[in-house]
Amino acid sequence: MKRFAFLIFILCSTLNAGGGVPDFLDRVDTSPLRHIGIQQGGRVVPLAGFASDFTTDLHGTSPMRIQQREIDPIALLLECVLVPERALEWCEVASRGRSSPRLAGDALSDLAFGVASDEADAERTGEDAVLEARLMLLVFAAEEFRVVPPASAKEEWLTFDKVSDSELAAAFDRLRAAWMAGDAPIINESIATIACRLTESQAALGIKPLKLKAELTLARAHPLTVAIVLYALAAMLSMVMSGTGWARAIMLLGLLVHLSAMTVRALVLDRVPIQNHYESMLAVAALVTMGVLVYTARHPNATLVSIGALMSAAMLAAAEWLDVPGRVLELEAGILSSTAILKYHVLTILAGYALILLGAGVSGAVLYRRSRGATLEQVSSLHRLQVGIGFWVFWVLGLGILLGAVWADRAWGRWWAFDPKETWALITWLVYLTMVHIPASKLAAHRRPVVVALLHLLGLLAMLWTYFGVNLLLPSLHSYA
Amino acid sequence: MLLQLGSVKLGLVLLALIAIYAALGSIPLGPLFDRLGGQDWHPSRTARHLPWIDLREREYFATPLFAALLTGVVLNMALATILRIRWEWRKSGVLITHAGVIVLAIGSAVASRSTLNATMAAFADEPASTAIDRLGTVIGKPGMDPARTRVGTRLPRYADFGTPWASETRSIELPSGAVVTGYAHSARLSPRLSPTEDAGAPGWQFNERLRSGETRSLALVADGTDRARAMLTDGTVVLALRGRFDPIELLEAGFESSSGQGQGGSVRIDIQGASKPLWLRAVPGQTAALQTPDGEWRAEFLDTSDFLENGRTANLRLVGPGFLSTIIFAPSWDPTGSGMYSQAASQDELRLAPLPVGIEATFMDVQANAVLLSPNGWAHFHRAGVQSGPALTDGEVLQLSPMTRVEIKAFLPQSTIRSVLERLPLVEDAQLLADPRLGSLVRIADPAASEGDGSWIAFEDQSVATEGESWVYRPATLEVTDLKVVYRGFEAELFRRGSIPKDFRIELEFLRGSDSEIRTLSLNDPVRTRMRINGRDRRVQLSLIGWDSHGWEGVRSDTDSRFEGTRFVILSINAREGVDTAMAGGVLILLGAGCSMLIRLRRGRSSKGAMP
Repeated sequence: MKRFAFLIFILCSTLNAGGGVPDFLDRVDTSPLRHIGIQQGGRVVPLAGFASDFTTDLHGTSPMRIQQREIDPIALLLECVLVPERALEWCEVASRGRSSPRLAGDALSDLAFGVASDEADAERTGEDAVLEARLMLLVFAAEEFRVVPPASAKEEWLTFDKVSDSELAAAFDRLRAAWMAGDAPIINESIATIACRLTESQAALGIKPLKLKAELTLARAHPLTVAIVLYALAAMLSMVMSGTGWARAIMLLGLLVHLSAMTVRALVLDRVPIQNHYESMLAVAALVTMGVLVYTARHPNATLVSIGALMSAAMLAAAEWLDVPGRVLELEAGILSSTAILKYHVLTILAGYALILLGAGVSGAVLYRRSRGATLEQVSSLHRLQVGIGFWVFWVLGLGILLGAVWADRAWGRWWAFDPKETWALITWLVYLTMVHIPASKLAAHRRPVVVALLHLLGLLAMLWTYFGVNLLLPSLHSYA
Repeated sequence: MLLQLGSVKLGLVLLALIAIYAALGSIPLGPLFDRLGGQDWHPSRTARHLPWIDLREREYFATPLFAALLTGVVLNMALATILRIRWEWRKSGVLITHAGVIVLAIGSAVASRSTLNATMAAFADEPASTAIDRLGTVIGKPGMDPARTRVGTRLPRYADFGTPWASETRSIELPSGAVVTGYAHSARLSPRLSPTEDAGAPGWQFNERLRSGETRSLALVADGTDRARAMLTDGTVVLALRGRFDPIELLEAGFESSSGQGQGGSVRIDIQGASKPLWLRAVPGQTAALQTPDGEWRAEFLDTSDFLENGRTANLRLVGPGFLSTIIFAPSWDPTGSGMYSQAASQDELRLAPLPVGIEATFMDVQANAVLLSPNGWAHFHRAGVQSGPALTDGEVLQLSPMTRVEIKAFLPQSTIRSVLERLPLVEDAQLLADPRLGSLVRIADPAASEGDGSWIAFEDQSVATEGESWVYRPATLEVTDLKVVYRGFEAELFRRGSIPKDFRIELEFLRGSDSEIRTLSLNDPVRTRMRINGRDRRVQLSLIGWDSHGWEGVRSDTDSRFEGTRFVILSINAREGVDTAMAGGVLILLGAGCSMLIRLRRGRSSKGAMP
């Protein structure tokens, strides 16, 4: 409430002021600040990324465009930090229910003096709350501008008005004065000084500019989109070309891009990137590709290459383009961090999932060919492959479950509790346990390819439910996974 | 016949049945749930949540049907191994795998028959030897046999519902004939605080659950009575006395010397007309005498007995003027418990009779973490010793334990006692981990006793349903008799660039008789030991499942003080029997399967063309 009253106060002090984007913004050079770290949600992120997120939160998109002018996100952030009352005059904020953003000052005016009628309903109140949050973000940006590192890593980072370094404080004061006056040369000089001092003090705390640059590159370069395209290309080539050479080469290239993106993510976060749904999907896609490339190196099989490439592309596309939890870079939760068993458990389970995907793809091919009248001999190699994959799934998934039990015994104090994830992992494993007993059964030979293929598809359904359904729909101790 | 019982076909059918049974226990039924009679308030909508099944997860997977299916698979596999599989080296993988299944089954059976799911709250520097049984609940009222009123697994819990029942009515028959008609999680009862002296009688109010970091006041109000009693969530008993009471006298009476011996305590008996109270050490055979204007009073301490599993009473033999015979008298911390007494007309005949006018007594038990307040002073009893002090002034604060303090808002010795107890914030998640029923209420109606709607009782409190009758609703406890656990230190390692803990180490001291051992428990590295729990030796594993995360914030900024922040930890105690065997079975299964795969791989190379 106090904050909103402050908003009203600012509004009253700016109601009659003139608008328009300050001209000096075009002459401001914020590039020295791009790779400076800023604390956000317990993590240190590059300022350029922070400013871009800030602009998106405020405006709906980044960068902000006003009358054909593109506003540098860092300059916009500095304007909101240093002169928020002026920013209200020209910044445009996104507003739900309107096709285009509107002036923050107007929005604030509507919000403050809009007459609440009896018709005001919950939806309107919700819109107001979102708008108010955006305006709060603008007016109180200075509180989030935590660029000054503390004396020790345990403490919170500081805002620029709480700086103890006198040289840095003087530079901030100069920047503020120049910013208010619109003096671009002094602004640029102050920014250079501040960037230099902050780089030194952040480096003393162990912040590496290289990691910040890597994070920024990861956000800008969209390497996974490149990998998706390459995988799709490899799938097409393997379908239309007789050999698998080119398709495998392009698939390998896609894998390298894919792994490089995961490696950067790992370096930025100081952890193996298999902690959440998004990251696990990246890992499954990479494991599918690796499995196909390793197998087809000795046993060239165009069908397997196209199935693997398509599956990897689909998995990556789902992770990238659907709203899968975990895309935002986050530190590792303590419970997931300090034991190797857990990482092996997760990796093994993901390898099992990758094999299940491959097995289902091969089984799909078996069923398709049998439905088109292919003889038993014609599908025998694919059948061998699907049986082989089934055995591997049985073993790898079993190992993953066992490692999970060992870890749960140590971490949770119980090794097995029929938690939904555990139950469904067991059900999935039982499907493959059934499959490995097919050779020992009296099932007629000509029926085996189809039965095994159907079991693979059943295993795929069980796996998908375990992987997505249980995580997203059921309460479980594995809900983070 | 045996060959058929060991057939692959039967085995596969059994596996399919197991999979279907397991799936039904966890897959949401969607709209079918309502059509099958499911209740719409239920957040989980699986088959086992249907009213005519109504089984919890662990109950669902422990039914005779599921056990029979599992046993059937193991028997089928054993028969197949003996009768159908040729014992030769090429089959060694299969044989090892099947042996592994049997080992796994044996381990699982042992583990499931010796389930232990308990938690222990260990406070800084305070020995802990009581654990909360997460699987058991005690519900009852004074005088009831606890064994008859233990409803255990039938009461709804947070883990099952997660949301309040709200207006939902659901009846659970209790053995006493009373009926549980409601349940609410995220809620608690607390005594109502009267803003002024005459603002109404004390009562109970229904509050929402404590939030993390929130401080909640609890009023201890006595109107027209001499004593008022309340019990806090951490077990601290608070007793406020309106009459004269000098804690220094209490200490002089020998309380200090008896503390730490495990059975000590003192009894204070106020006899009307006496110049001072009679103090008696709670040691069998101890006697004391007090000269009053009416004659000499004599008291002998006999023994102690448990009182409703909620406290202890001291049994005394009193002889004095004005009575026809000896009185066997049992005072306790509980004001309502002071009336529990017997009068002996002769050594062979005991019968109930009203308490003689003029006797008030309180038993201070060193086993209880308790505070006694009076206009003349205060005394705090806890396992590590006794503290006392002079009369408290308004606004003064007593720090009773790391998590509890008493703030005296107003102490009006001549009229109403009104001390406000302020409990420092406990972290709700840690509380829930310690016992998921904390913060929950049940509504009980006793058809035989009243026609009213019944009364809500809180998990950590008692509320008077009708005069002279109170209900108790609390977790079952487990006593560790050979070991005391003391929380000695907490160290955390943070991520270099953030504030999230990466690892932590808890230092625990294990006290067994005169032996002391320091053990370190860290993330994903539990402590394994042996404990004698409720008279049975158990192999257990202690893991950390919660800690004072409110205080954790303090630790981050103050590394010099060990307990400034994390002043308690919640330890999970789980049984270890059978677990290693089951794990070994799992390893054998995978080992055998690996062997089979290798053998198949070699055979496959030599016999290409055969249909697998």
